[in-house]
Amino acid sequence: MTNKRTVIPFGPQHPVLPEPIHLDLVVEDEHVVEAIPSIGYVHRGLESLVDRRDYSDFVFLAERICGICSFTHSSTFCQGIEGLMGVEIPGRARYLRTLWGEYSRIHSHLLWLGLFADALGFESLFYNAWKIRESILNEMEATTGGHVIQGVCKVGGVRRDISNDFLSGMDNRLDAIEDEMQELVKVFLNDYTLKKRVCGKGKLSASDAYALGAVGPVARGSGVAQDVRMTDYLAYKDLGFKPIIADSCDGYGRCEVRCKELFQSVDLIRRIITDIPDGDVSVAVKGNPDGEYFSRSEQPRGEVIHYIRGNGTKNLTQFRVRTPTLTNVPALVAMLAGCELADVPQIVLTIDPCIGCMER
Amino acid sequence: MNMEVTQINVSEVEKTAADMKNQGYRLVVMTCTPAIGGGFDITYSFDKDLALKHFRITMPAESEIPSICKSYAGAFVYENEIHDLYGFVFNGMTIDFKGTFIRTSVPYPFKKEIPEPTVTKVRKEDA
Repeated sequence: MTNKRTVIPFGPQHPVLPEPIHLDLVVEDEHVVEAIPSIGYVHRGLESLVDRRDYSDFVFLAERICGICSFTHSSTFCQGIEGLMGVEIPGRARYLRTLWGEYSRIHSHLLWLGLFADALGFESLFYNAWKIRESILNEMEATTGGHVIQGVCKVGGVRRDISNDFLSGMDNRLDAIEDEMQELVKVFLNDYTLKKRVCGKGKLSASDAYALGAVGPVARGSGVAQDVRMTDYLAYKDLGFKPIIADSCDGYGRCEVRCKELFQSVDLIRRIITDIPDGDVSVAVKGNPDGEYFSRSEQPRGEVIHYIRGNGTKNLTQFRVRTPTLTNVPALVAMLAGCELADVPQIVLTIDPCIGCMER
Repeated sequence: MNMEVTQINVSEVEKTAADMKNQGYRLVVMTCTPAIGGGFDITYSFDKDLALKHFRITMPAESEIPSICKSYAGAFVYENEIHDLYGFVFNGMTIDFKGTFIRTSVPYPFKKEIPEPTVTKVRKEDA
């Protein structure tokens, strides 16, 4: 033991990081004393394009903020414009947006589970998670026309309907997907080696999670029942949503929440398929947005905020986005303080960082 | 989710944040946008039991603003971001990156007041 402090750079290029973020890790021997993050490697300034695009066209740009939560970005943006203009979308459109939002959550969580398995050295587990994810993406493509970027949301509703026959087929195919996910999740929640790598690592108490503004599975994995789906947006008010929480306050808790949310999303989709009302999927929207609105939704990674301001013209004047990863960075800094150097990669992954989304 | 914003003075920022913290509110986001009458609006948004409260200060460019990190340690991400994109200085941040949190090729790229229209307009006589 020397107790001499050393700074070790982590990232922006690192095997566990799909996107670039840099951390200066201040270490004493093998223990991290402090982690100092910096970002800015993929800052695109997408928000500043808002005054150069018609608000109805900007939906496509909002969708491209993130390649994983693309659908939720487009629906949150449309929800903001609709709120600003007092537009009420048809019930069927609300249900369809909820359905695609939950499919997005499943494919995002499966993507994370695959990356997490890969980071821990579980190659076949990684392949299996992404294989199941392809089935979900295929459903998205079959119903929207887009595999990753769906382009199906529009101000006033959605562009495509799904026939009731096709919805029944989706319900049947969910049985097989659910069985495959059950097998997958057993490994994540019960494997001895995997548990040794995550249990007790990256501790974040419930009070710290709340005080540091953590959202999504990061907050819920610390026992904080924070989920925007508990508000009455989209069809969640009809579905009687209750958030899943874990109280282990560590990497295992965050993994457990995501695993259980896979099946919660399947249940929500089934209820949507049963309860979806008939009718139109969009309404005509006339005029331009005037005023300001604060639109929020629950993405797979947590609460997302779209702040929108218009002045009665076809171009918005302001658009600001706060994504869940940005607000989970202070929680990550708290988790890393005091951990062992070898645990840093998997602790970073447990917040499911999306850097492109964070920097816009 | 409609916005009801309470306008406050910059001298009230720290006290407002402390009050929100004591009442059990979570800091949701700090949003900086150009203000309609000139200068910039900085909006502090808080949440408790899924209900939002917004407070706003309107400041001229490059002003100094007290940090709310004493009450909300996680505010450093928003304050550093607003500094790096808009050029405001926050006094008392828990982690001050001094302009290196978001590394941009152009300093303070969003420091423009109400933006000029950039869409090319074609007049009849030009056609």
